[in-house]
Amino acid sequence: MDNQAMIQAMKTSISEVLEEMFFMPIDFISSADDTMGIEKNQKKVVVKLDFSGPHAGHFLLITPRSLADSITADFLGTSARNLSEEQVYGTVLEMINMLAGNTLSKYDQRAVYNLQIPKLVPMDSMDAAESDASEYFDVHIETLACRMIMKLVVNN
Amino acid sequence: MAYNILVVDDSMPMRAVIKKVIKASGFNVGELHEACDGKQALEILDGHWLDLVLTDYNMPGMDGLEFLKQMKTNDSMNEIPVVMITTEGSGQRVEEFMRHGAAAYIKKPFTPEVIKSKLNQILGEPENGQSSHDTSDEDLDF
Repeated sequence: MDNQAMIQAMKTSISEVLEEMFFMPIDFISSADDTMGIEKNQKKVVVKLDFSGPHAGHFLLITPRSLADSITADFLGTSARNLSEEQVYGTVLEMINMLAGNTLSKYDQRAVYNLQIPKLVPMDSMDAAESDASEYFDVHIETLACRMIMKLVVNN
Repeated sequence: MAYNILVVDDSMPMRAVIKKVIKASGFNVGELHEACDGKQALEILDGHWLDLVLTDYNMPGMDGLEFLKQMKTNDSMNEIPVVMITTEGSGQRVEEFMRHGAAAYIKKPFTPEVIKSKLNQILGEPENGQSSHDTSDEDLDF
């Protein structure tokens, strides 16, 4: 896998999806500079999407709950106070769906990747998934409100 | 003429957004149905006359491609235009959709203008005298 090309595909996809579909201005920060990151005890929404094809692995999107609420409210044009869990989780699941599909098609437009249905994951399952990875990418995203992280784990 | 439209997507927020854009498109929308997968969509099609279907590809149970194939082999449904709305961007996948009879394809992410443009392409321009849907209580920016 071309690591630089994949990181670039992830960043381009993130910019396109978050700015065009979710109207979120964003910036990227290096993981080394992200000393704040997302606090451990902060409530988060974590979603995962498995894929297969020329490469196989999964994407993860880690979003503070407060940001997920705000994104969902803006996306649906409603108040954050009236949101259901289904709406919030559904929005973040759709977000990773778009991010994953866009990233892979930007990385290689000729290849056919099979994307699974995205799903919610408990935080403690993330580390186990990464331990078997042959390659691992992460992009730290700064929004006006706070930070979110997108990870790509490629299987051995 | 009022158009009856079906939106098929396993994501409830995405269905809500697409429906919102359709309502704001300027077309006279009659019935606006939604389904969470291909199987549910076929059940709706069985009971209602529809002018257009917009469907996602990646759905649990029956996915969008299988749904399209089933529509096209059913005499009562095969004339209804189907627009695929999906993150799948590979040339091969798009060719597969079109080969199985999709009328058009929209890649996610999309702007409201893209949806409206496809509606115009398939249904024709909104009829004269129809103003844009009153958006005073709806924000076109989703």
